[in-house]
Amino acid sequence: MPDAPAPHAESDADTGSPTEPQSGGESLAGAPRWAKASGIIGLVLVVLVVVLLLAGGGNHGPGRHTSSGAAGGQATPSSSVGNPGAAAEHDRPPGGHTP
Amino acid sequence: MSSRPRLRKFALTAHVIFSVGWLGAVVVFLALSVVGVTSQQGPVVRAAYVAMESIGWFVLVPLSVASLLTGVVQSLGTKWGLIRHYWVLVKLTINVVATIILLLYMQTLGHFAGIAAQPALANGELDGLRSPSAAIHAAAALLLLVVAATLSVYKPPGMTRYGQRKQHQRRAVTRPVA
Repeated sequence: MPDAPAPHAESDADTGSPTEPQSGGESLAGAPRWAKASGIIGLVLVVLVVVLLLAGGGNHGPGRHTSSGAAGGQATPSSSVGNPGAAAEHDRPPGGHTP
Repeated sequence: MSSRPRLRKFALTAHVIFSVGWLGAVVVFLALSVVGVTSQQGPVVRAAYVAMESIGWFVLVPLSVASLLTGVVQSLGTKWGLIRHYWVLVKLTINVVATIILLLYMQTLGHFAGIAAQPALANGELDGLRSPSAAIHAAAALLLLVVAATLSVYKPPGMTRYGQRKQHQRRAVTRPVA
């Protein structure tokens, strides 16, 4: 006999008994309330972050964390002199990381 | 056939270990980031950032990727599926988003660590290191991971349209012919 359709996964670790996905109780009217609420909250947070980034001048790179007068503020471990004003964005590949 | 249940349990165990390990590492990272912001001793602040970078690359990133991969493998091997139930879908989204943000933030963290590792700091650089950025990111990550762990245990109901379609197909196949 093939394996019984008992997906659960996480339940095994807790109760030792498989738990089938709820079928009869599932709502067929779209996403459940908790999923919609989570989606709305997530969307609001994303919009909030975007607004804060735009309000902060749009610079979310490492450069915004250093004082404007610090010439070496952009220094990396592999370089002795940093690049003033070089706002390294998040997509800059890591360089010279040392353990 | 006892190999499939054992394989599922193995995949589940691996996913739990990596996911909870990731959460624990984020807690450690949060503690170090708080030290980096609050400590009045320059060497301590610098040490915190150097340590955070190492933790990031050698613990956080591997655990996050492992959690994502084992989660996908483990879900695909069960009837829960990857996109059939909303709680799995939300967990997947959380994992992907958190991993992406982590990888992006490692650039910033590398920048901080690079400054911290310099033999001497300029006047404004130490103050620049006392940024709450790392603490904010760590706190947000911790919140996301706690939500994901909660979803794993409670498994709130709700099937996606794809899941409902699959369920109907399965019922149609198993329904005895009159």
